[in-house]
Parts: sequence; structure tokens; C-alpha cells
Amino acid sequence: MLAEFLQFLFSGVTVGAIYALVGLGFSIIFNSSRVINFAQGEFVMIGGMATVFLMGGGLPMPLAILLAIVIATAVGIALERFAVEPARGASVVTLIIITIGASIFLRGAAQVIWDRNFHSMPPFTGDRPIEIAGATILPQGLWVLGCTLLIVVGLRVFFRHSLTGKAMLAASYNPLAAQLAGIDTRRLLLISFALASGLGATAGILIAPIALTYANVGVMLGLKGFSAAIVGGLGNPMGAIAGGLVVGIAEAMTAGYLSSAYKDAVAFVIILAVLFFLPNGLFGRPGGEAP
Amino acid sequence: MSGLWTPRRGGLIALASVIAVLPLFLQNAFHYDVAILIGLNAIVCVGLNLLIGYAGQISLGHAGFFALGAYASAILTGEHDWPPLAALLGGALGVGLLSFVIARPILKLKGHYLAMGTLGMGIIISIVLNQEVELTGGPDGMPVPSFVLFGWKPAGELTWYALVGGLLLATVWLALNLIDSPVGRALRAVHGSETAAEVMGIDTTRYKVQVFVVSAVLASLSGSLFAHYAGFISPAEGEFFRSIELVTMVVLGGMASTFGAVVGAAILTLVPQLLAAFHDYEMLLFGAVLMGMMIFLRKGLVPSLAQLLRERRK
Amino acid sequence: MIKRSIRVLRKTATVAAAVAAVVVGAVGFGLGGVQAAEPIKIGTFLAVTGPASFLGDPELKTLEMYVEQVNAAGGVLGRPLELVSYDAQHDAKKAVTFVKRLVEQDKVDLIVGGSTTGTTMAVIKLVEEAGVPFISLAGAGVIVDPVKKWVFKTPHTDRVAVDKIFQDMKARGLTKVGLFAGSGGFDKSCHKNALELAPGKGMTIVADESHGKGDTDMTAQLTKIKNAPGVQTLLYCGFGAPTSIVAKNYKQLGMTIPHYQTHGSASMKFIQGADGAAEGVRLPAAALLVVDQLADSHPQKQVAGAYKTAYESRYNDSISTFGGHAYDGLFIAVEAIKRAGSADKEKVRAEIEKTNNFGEAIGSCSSRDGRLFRGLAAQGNRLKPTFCFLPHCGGGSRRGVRPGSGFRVAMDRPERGARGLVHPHPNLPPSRGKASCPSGDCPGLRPRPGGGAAVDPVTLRRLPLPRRRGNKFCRGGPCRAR
Repeated sequence: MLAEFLQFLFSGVTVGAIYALVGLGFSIIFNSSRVINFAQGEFVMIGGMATVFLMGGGLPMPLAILLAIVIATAVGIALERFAVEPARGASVVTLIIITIGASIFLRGAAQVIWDRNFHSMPPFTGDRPIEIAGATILPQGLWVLGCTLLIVVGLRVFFRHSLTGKAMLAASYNPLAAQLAGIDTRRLLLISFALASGLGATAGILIAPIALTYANVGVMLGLKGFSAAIVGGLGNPMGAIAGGLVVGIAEAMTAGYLSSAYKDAVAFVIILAVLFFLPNGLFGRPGGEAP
Repeated sequence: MSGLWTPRRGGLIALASVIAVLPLFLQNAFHYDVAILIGLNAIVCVGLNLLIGYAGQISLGHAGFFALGAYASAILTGEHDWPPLAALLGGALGVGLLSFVIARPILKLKGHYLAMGTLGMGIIISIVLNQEVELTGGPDGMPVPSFVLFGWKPAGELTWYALVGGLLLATVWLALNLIDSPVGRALRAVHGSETAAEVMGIDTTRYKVQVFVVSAVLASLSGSLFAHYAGFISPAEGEFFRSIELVTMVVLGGMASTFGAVVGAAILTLVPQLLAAFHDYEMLLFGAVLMGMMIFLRKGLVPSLAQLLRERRK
Repeated sequence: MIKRSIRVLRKTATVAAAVAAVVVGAVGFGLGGVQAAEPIKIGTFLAVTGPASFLGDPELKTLEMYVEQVNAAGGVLGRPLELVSYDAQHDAKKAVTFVKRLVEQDKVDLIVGGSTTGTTMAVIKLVEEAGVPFISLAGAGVIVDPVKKWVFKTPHTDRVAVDKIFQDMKARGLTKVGLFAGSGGFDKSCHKNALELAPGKGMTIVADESHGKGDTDMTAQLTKIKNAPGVQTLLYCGFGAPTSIVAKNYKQLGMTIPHYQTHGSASMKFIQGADGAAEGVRLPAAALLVVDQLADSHPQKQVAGAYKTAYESRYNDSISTFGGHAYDGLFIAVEAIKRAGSADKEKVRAEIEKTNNFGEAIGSCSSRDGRLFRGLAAQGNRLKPTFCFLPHCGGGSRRGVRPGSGFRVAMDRPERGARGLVHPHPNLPPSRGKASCPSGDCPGLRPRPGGGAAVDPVTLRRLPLPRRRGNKFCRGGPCRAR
């Protein structure tokens, strides 16, 4: 009984951590630009696919991973420069549709540059399951959790203690005031896209050995990441982490104890319920509203 | 009252002429098919535009209502031998009730949370359609009997074209009337500032709920017609991306422009057909076209063009 | 007021003109260039992208490659083939529009395509009305049951696959099945067939789980199946990345019950993706996938081998059954056109129907025999499968991801071999037609060296199936009036 519960929990936490990383990207970009970047899932795909193909090209894994993150970050910066920046000042829905266009574009490009097949990636360290009280978790699952934890701590330090991080927080609360205080909000926008795309790619690389990677892998992960960011409260990076875990665990527990056919539906019902009672998410502040 | 030429009537007449003249350019059943799909999409978009453009409430779940209408027609006529018109109205009534029930809690949400709420609703509908294989045929879909109206059976593309064209005109007329009515003014007030509207004594929730129901019912009607026209329906119609596509049509044409919604529907239905010949590059190009249009015509096609015309005149 | 209305009118008229221009542009589009020797146009609409791209991608690649090849060899009846293809994804609406486009605008002579059952079913009414020969590449039996004049299909039905799997389970004494399915069309159809066929086969479904689109972890569902009381075996219905994820999670949970998957997993990608965890999974698949292991005398050896070499060297990609279905569809059409002596739709249709002993088949269950080819699904439930088991398949060390892992080992240890039930079949010499084929004795299939530990006894039966031709019914032999 306990073993069963633990197994569901492990499953939920591992998947939830990935949702959380994707959700973080949504939150960071939202903070600096009020844009919901629906191309966030595509960074997940680029991370995984680039790593697989770079490794296929003969690069050692650590180098391939690094390069893949660099590529994704570059794509993120390009997205900001050539799609979001020129549309600055457009309405929120317009910006959302631009990012949706970008996500379709990136998926199309991935199918042309790479292919439409699914690809596996070897785990970072071994594939022998680790048993804990009758439940099992893969070493890669521990990697996912460890890296997520590291990123959370790193981001916290970044936002609390670095000048850029503080500036980003300031700009998220009041862009105009931040600008008046001499903060270059355009540069911050660029940094936030770079950060979010890098995080997305990291998520994609972490999950690829567990769930494989393919051109469309970012579609559902992006959607779940968005849900995570919303449940946690838009614009609150730590909320996105909590939101990711809530969504992941809700899915796993539903699949385990209720109905696996309606697992996703139940997860969305939970999200809706959260929103009905806390219209700004778990940790959101009012003002997540589209301006 | 200003006689025959109100702007509203002018627009309607122009739209009617386009619908009437278009068949001269349509050479075969495929062209008619595209035109009919444009019409069906436009009906949904005109309704959705009332919600997004006028009431300022986004919905990322309207494909769900479209699919519900389609499946209501498919199941009621196919399995329970209802007359198609009754099934169509029954579906619309059901969707109306459903949207009425969920409108209040969902429309309490604001901005992106509302987007999430409607998106979740659409996804739940889509999951149900996929999972209830016994009822809906699952992901492989189900056939739909032909449409029969008091013994008259629209056969052939031209008949369907006329039917859908007529309905589109009626929908646009309805939408234009709604916008110019007190409801429309209230809606615009809600869009401008909900708080201000409330202070003015407008029951904002009531108006938002009304327009949400109207747009859902229009989507359902269009879905029912689509089901009969296509003769086959699959849950792909209710997917999240269809909802996004519908919103994109509205925004692309120009929010708060009823004719814009029609134009947006036309363009976004045509572009994939034009790009189909590019095969591998189809998706890539579609994404690029979408981005480009939104970047350069950020207010949407019709308002941007109108602005351009105005500037030139000056 | 009037001024304003005229302005609005003008505005609307401008927009209308713009729309009309686009429409006219669309009309002009595709009328394209004029060719010297009039080509025979083969239309296709496949799920090249989207969730069913695992079907459409190899299908399109196969069609493109062989149309080129046929043209390089001088075409058909001295005319080149022209492939007109559209990506309908898994969307019934797109399929309908594209088929209208193929028929009305591109004026194709015949259609080979339709990756999924949904897209195929959506266009049947259309092709029947238009009178265009249509060879579908989708699985479900309803496509040709009841028989439609213009509609054919190449793949065996998913029902046959499930039936075959149940037979194999039964033979191994496994009757309590944990069923697990994805949420795609293929998955659901297989799931439905499993639920329907189980009682009649003496199987009990003791667990029934499913997973969503794009799921990355299925341990929760598998844990439930693992803990289901009395469960003896796992059957997974699905395709694409989840097939590998299921295999990995199965291994992670330390599950030991026999694990079955369907022909949706029948490609090397499943094995590569599972990263060693596909060990021991059984699945039904086409002989095409194990062409290396066929005896040289096997009639499919040469054709299938040539296909494999050509496909893999051109696309740097491993073959799947689905490409084989497209190959069969194309060549059944090409042969029919040759026999008809023209691309006349009615004549071609009649010739497709007469297709018999199509020796070139590589992916289709029954394509060698025209009757089966058409009748396979027409018989629906009562269809007896024509599979036989290959000693081993699905595994193979041919392209193991990492040396030393998984399948190389499997090949050396028969008792743990990655085995497969391989179907198709069987170019049985007609004289052996009605005989049963005991284990290891499938004609043309080389018995496993070193003993038949991995071989299961299965009956291979060839069936006389009724086929409608006009208003006569044929059963095995010549047609007689009914």
C-alpha cells in the first residue's frame, strides 16, 4: 500500500519537476514582459533534440548538453529580438499569438532540420532503478529532482542577491518605475528570454532519457508548464515550482487511485478548482490580469 | 434614423455581395469546400469576437463548444434518429445551458487566469470526446447522416454554400445589432474598465455571461452544420489548437470588428491550403506567416487597413 | 451619416476585394505547369506531421522514393507517375478538403493514402461519389466492411493483431490480461478490439488503464496493473514514443509478467528508444522487419530486402511496417494500371479488385492474394488470421543502441529472446493453402537455429474468403452467382 503510494508520488514528483521548470520559464518571461510565451515548450524540444543530434554527430554528452542549452538560449534571444521586440506595445492577445506562431515555426523548423522520429538519449548515470520502500525511481529521476532543486536555489540567489536579478524583480512589479530608476528594461527582457529558454532546454535534456524526445514533445509539456505557472500564480517563480509539483502529483495520484483515462481531465479540474477559490493561483498576487 | 444607408447596412450589403459574387470565381467542388469552411469558421469567429473583441474576455476553449454541437448532431441524428434540425437545436440548447452553468465561475477569472480556465474547460471536453469511445467513436470519429430540413436535403456544394452564406449573413446581422444595442454598449464599457462599468450600475457579470452563452451557441450551431456538411466528425475538431486557431482568426482580422472576424476566418482557412504545396516547409511557413502578420498588423487586418486608408485620405 | 456609411462600405469593399484576390490566387494555385507527356496522377493524403506522423512519415517517404524509381525506369505505360501529396495530419476535416482538392482540382487518377482510420472513413463517401479508386493505408476493418465499390486497403486490421496476440497468450497459458492503452486513434481501436475479443477468446481483462497524449511517465498505471489481482500478462496498445516509455517503466518497476505490444511498436525505433528495456517484448509485425532473417528462398526476401536497403540508405532511417503498406498500395495500383492498359478509373478499379498473387507485397498481411486483400476485413469478426510466428523478430542486434546491451545478448540467449509474432504472410504455395502450419514450419521462414525455444505453435491457415464482385460472391475458387 505504502509502496504503491510512494511509486505514484515518485512518478508525480519527477514529472512535476519538469512541469515546474517549464512553468518557471513562463513565469520569468511573464514577469519581465507580461507575455505568455507559448513557445516555451519548444525550448524543451530544442534542448532534447539538439543534444541527441549533437551526440549522434559524435560529441561527448556533457559538451552536447552544453551546446544544446546554448543553441536553445540563442533561439530564445532571437525570438525576443525578431518577434517580441518588434511587436512591443501590441495587445496581450496579439503577443500570445505571435508566440504561438513562433512555436509552430520552431516545430516546423525542427522537422525540417532534424526529423519527425522519436529519439532516445542515454541516461546521465546508469539505468538501474533505485528501490526505496518497495517503490522504484530511476537515477535519471534523481537527476531531474537534483537539478531542479539546484536551479531553484540558484534562481533564488539570483533574484535576491544579484543586481540584474533585483532589477528583474523590480521591473516585474512596476516596469515604468524601474525604467525611471535607470533600469534598462529592454535588456532585462532579453535576459529573461535567455533565462527562460535555457531553463526550458534544461528541462528537455533532463527528461529526454526518461521520456524520449521528438519534434512535438514540447506541445503537451508546454501546456502543462503553463498550467503549473497559472496554478502557482503567474509572475511568482517559486509559485511555478509549487504549481508544477501540484499538477504532476495530481496527475499521478489520479492515474493511480481514480481513473487513468481521465487523468489529464482530473488534473485540469483540480486546476480549475484552485482557480475558482484562489482566482490568482496559489501564490499569485492580484494583477496577473492582462493589462 | 438615417434611411437605407447606415454603416451597418452598408457593411452587410457589401458582405452579401461578396457572398453572391464569389461563386463566379469558384471553379470546382474543392473551391466551394474551402469557401464553406470559411463560412462555418466565420460564424464561430463572429460570436467569439463578441466575447473577445467587445466584452474583452478571452476564451481558449471555443473549439470545445463547436465539437459539442457537432457531436450532438452526430449522435442525436445517427444513433437516436432525431430530425437534424431538432438535433441542431437540441445541441445548441445543451451547449447554451452548459456554457451558462460554467460561465459564472469561469468569467470570475481575469486575464491569463481566464485563458487558463477556458483552456482547461476545452481540454476536458476534448478528453471526454476522445475517451467515450462507445458514444463518440473515440479518436477515429464517427459518421454523421445527411442534413434534412423538412424533407429538403441540401446536396451539392452550391446548396451548402448558399445555406452557410445565408447563415453567416444572419449571424453578422445579429452581431451588429447586438453591438449597437444597450447590451453592446454595456459590453464595451466592461471592456474599457470593468470597475467603472460596475460603478455605473452595470451588472457586468450578467452581460459577460450572456455574451459567453451567445458565442458558445453560435459555435455549437456552426459545429452541427459542419458535422452534417462533412458527413464525418472526429475529436480533432475540439482540440486545443482549434481553439487557438479560432482566437487567432479573430485577432488577425481585428478585434472588435465583426467584418474583421470574417476576414480573419477567410485568411486563416485559406493560408494552410496555399501552403499545402510546400510540404515539409508547410508548418514552418505557417508559423512565419502568423508571426509576420501579427507583428506588422498588430491591431488586426481590418482595423490596420482602415487606419491606413484614413491616413492616406489625410 | 451617408458619408460615413459610404466610408464603411468602401472599407468593406476593399477588404472584400482583398479576400477575393486571395481566393482567386488560391484558385490559380496548383494549376501549375503543363507537362509534356501526360503523367498518371497518384494522389495521397497522409498524416505526415502531428501525432500520427509515425504512420504518415514512412508512408510518404516510401511513395516518393518509389514514384521516382518507377519514373526513372520509364514510368507506367510510357507515362510518368506524378505524386500529389498533402499533409492531412490526423484531422478528418483536412482529409476531406484535401481529397476534394485531389479529385476536383488536381484531377488525380487514383488515391493511395489515408494513414489513419478516421481520415480514411471521413473521405469514403467522397471517393465513392467521385468514382476514384482509393487504396487506404489504415487499419480498421470498417473501411472495407461492408464492401465499397471504390475502396480498398492494404494493412491487416488491428483486430487481427489483437486476436493473434490473444492466441499466443492462450498458448502460453496466460488468460488474465492487464490492458494498457494510449489515447490516439490507433491505441483506442486496439483497446476496443481487445475488450471485445477477450471474452470469446477466454481471456479476462483484469486491469484497464490508459495514458494521455504526450505523457512522459507511465509508472502509476503500470503499478496498478502490476498490483492487479491475478494479472498474468501485459498488453500495451499504442505507438510512438510511449511504446518505449512503457517498456522502460515496465523494467523500472521490475515487472516480470510477459509483455506484449502491437504492430504499432513494430519498428527498430521502439527498440532503440527503449534503450535495452524492450527485451522480451512480443509483438506482431510484418516479415519485412525481419527480412534479414528470412531464408533466401522466401519469396519476400528479395523484394523486402531491396526495399529495406533502398529506404534505409536513402533516408538514413529504419524501416517500419507502415512504409510497407504504402509500398504495397503503390505497386498494387501500378500493376493494376499496367494490366488495365490505361489510367481509366473504372478499368483500374476492376483490375485492383482482381489483384491476385501480388508477389511483390512486403508489408501487407494478405496482399499476395487478392481475395484476402479485399476480403480480409470484409469478413470482420470471422476472419481467421494468417500470421505465423517467426522464431524471433522485433529484436535483432542489427542496430542496437549501445553495443552489448539489449538485443545482441537477446540473440544469443534464446530463452530470453526478444521474440515476435510475425505475421504476414506467407506466400504459401496454393497447394498448401488449407493446411495448417505448425510451429517452426512456416514455409519460407527459416527455423531458428539452435532449437525452437522461442517458437510458439500457431496455426497458419489460409482462408477462402468471400469477396463480392458485382453481385456474385466468390469463395476461394471461381466466382459463382449467388
